[in-house]
Parts: sequence; structure tokens; C-alpha cells
Amino acid sequence: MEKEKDTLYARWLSGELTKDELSSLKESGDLDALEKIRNVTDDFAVPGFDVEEQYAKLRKNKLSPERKTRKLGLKWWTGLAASIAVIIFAGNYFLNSAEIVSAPFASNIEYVLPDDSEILINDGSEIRYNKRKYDSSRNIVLSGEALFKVKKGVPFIVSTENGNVEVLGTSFNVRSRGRQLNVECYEGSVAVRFNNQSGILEPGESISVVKGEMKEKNLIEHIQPQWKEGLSRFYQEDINEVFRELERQYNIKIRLPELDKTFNGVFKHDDLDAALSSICQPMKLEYQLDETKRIVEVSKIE
Amino acid sequence: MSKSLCQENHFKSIFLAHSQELRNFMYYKSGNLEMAEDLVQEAFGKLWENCAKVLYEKARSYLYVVMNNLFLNQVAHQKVVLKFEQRQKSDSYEQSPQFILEGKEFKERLTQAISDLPEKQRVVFLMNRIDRKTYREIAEILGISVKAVEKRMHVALSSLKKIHPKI
Repeated sequence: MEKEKDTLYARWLSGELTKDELSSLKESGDLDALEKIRNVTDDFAVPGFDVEEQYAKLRKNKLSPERKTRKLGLKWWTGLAASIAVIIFAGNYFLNSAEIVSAPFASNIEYVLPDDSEILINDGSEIRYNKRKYDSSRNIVLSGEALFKVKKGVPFIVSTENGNVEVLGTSFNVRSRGRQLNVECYEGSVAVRFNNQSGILEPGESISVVKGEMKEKNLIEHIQPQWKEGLSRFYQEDINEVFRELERQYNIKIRLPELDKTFNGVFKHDDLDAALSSICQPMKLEYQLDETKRIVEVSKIE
Repeated sequence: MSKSLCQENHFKSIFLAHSQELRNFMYYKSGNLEMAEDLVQEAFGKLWENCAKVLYEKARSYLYVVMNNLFLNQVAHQKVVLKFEQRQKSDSYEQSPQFILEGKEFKERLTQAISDLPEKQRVVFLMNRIDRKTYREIAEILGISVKAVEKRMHVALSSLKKIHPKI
């Protein structure tokens, strides 16, 4: 037992001492001090860490290839020699093969990938992919909504924060806004995965993943996404998300009261008044446009 | 087939699971919270760049290695000054002002003594005390034996107990 003395306190703390060891530790008179250290450090904690906020920061600064410099907390290493800075910046070379395409508010962008697959990116949305690796792994990171027409080839994967969509060659629409993912399949077949859940879509089917939970499949009648026809369609969508989509579509600002409803229906992309009333009427809401037609005030009808 | 880290939801799940313990680990090493959080961002940026080369199952140990290397690159280590907060307590009870004062003073001395521990002991001690990791988990993360972790813990406790005045 004597040779185990060099781990004695550690094993006392984890409650692994033998009876004999424990009683000799008591006799030594050290137990008071050890217990006090244990009790006080039991209450120790480190400053909080907001993991979602940190992830948002990472996504903005590091997952986007557009950054030119590293934000390496200048505050704490100013004063260190410039040679250290050189070592850090030398790590920056890999990044240039990444491609990023984003559609501004109130407009769509058509984009052709290296294999002639096509993407129509809806407004306020963005895709990213690695040009160099594209031949071996067709992996597109999507924020927002886009329509894909994919040439046959190696698996084509659309990654979103809310789940992944994997296909071989087909036409489908992916919308990932807020905490909701919606996928509609128009040709071929599409696999949608989120964590351990997965669903296979055939043409004319759609599926949603809402807050991490995969819903039942739905049938759709249209053969292309409705936003391409100048319409946005929603099925049991959070009403707040619907207004957010309207803001993006018309590039306006909407002030909302607190709302807790879901919306079924469509709105048009070329007539703001008609769009507003098609949402507000069934929801028992009224709206008011300011003179510039850029700000909308929505309120509940008493 | 292993999950691909190039898919953002897999990548994010690694971030959600391990970013905080990595931040804490670097804080224990450096005593610099801001730097610790910057290095977490750097390490995950590297993981994303190398997403095709790193297996999902190996991501955690990859991140620890990257964090360590980034830390070594920063060098010019300054003296470590740690600060701890009070864990939320469910029950509070009346204490005499005298007792509270003594407790506060002891806490300050203990915090100072922990800051002054050699880095390896300090990291092991705090991973166990604050992140509540077992010796086995710590051994796995640091790539050393359980016995080595216990030794570091023992030596750390031996020096810390010296601040307690013997009656």
C-alpha cells in the first residue's frame, strides 16, 4: 500500500480509499484542510458560455470563406513580436478555394455549378461550397432557400443548420429558415436526414423538419417552387416566420405584436397590399403602411 | 459509415457538445478567458477547413490537439490569474458575518494558490473540480494514464492544503 501514497489525496477525493487508508488519513490531521478545499471548490464555477452565440460567431467568421483576416483578439496580443503574427497569418492559404454566393433582399440569383447543376437562390439566402473538392464531394452549405436541379453523379448533399438533404440527380427545393426545414421534390428522389431521422421523398412530395423533429410527408401539386412563380406558400408555418419571409420578399420592415399562430396559405410577390391582406385577413390582423411604403405596422383586431 | 464533419449539422453537434469544455480547458491553462474563447473559434475554424480529413469520432481529440498547438504558438505565457464565480445554490442559510468574512478570505487565498499551481496540475485539478470530469475522462483527453492524473491531483491537493492554517 505504501507505494500508492503518491495518489492518496486524489483517491480520497474520488472516494476510492480503503478503510485503512482513510483512517490513517484521519489520524494525520490533514483531512480538515482537504475537506475545506473540496467544499469550497465545489462551489466554484467559471464564467458562463453562450454556446449558441459562440456558434453564430463561428459561422459568421470562420465558416464563411470571405474573411480576409483573422480576428485573433488583437486586444490580448498587441505588444507581441510581429514575427508571431506572421506565423498565425501563414495559416490562411487554404481558404481561397471556397465559393460563396448570396442573393440580396428582393432578388433571386441563378447559379451554375461546375458540373452544370443549377441553383436558383431565393432572396436573402446564401450558398457556400468548396470549388476544389466539388468533383469528389458535391457538398453545398445553404442558409435560407434555394431550388436545385442536379445532374446525375456522386451524391449531392445540401447541408443546413436544420438537417441534410442528399440526392443523386433530381430537382428539388430546400427552405431552411429559422428553426424549420422544408424540402419539396419535383423529379427523381430525395433523402432528407436530421440526426437519426430520415425520410425519402418521391416526386410530388414534401417534408418538414420543425425544431429538430421530422414531420409526416405531404403531397404537393405544383411542379416548381411557388416562389419561382411569384408566390410563397406555407403549410402550418409559424406566423412570425411568414412575416419574416414577407419582409425579405419585399425588402420592408414589419412591426408585429406578439403572435402565437400558424398560417396556411400563400402570398404574392408583386403586390404588397394583396400579400398583406392575404395573411392578415384569415389571421384577424390589420395593417398600416407608412408613406414610404417601407414600414408596416401590424396589429390585432380588437 | 462515419458521419461527415463537412455536413454542417454534424459539425454543429460537435460544437454544441465540446466547445464549452474546450474553452474551460484553455482558461485553466492560460487564465485568459478572451484568449480561450478566441482559440475555440480558431480550433473549430481549422476543423471546418479539414472537415474531410477528420473522422467524426476523432473530432474531440483533434480539437484538443489543435488548441494545444495554437496555445504553444502564442507563447510568452503570462502569469495566470484565474477568477471563479459562485455556483448557483439552491438553499441559502444564515451565516455570521465573521464566518462569511473568513470564508471569503479563504476563497481568495485558495483561488490565488490554484492560479499559482504548475499548469499541468492546475488543468487536471480544475477539469475535475469544475467540469466534474472523472480521472479516467481527464486521462483520455490529455492522453496520459489514469495514474498520472491521480499523481497530478495528489500533488495539487498537497500544495493547496498548505494554505489552511493548522489548528
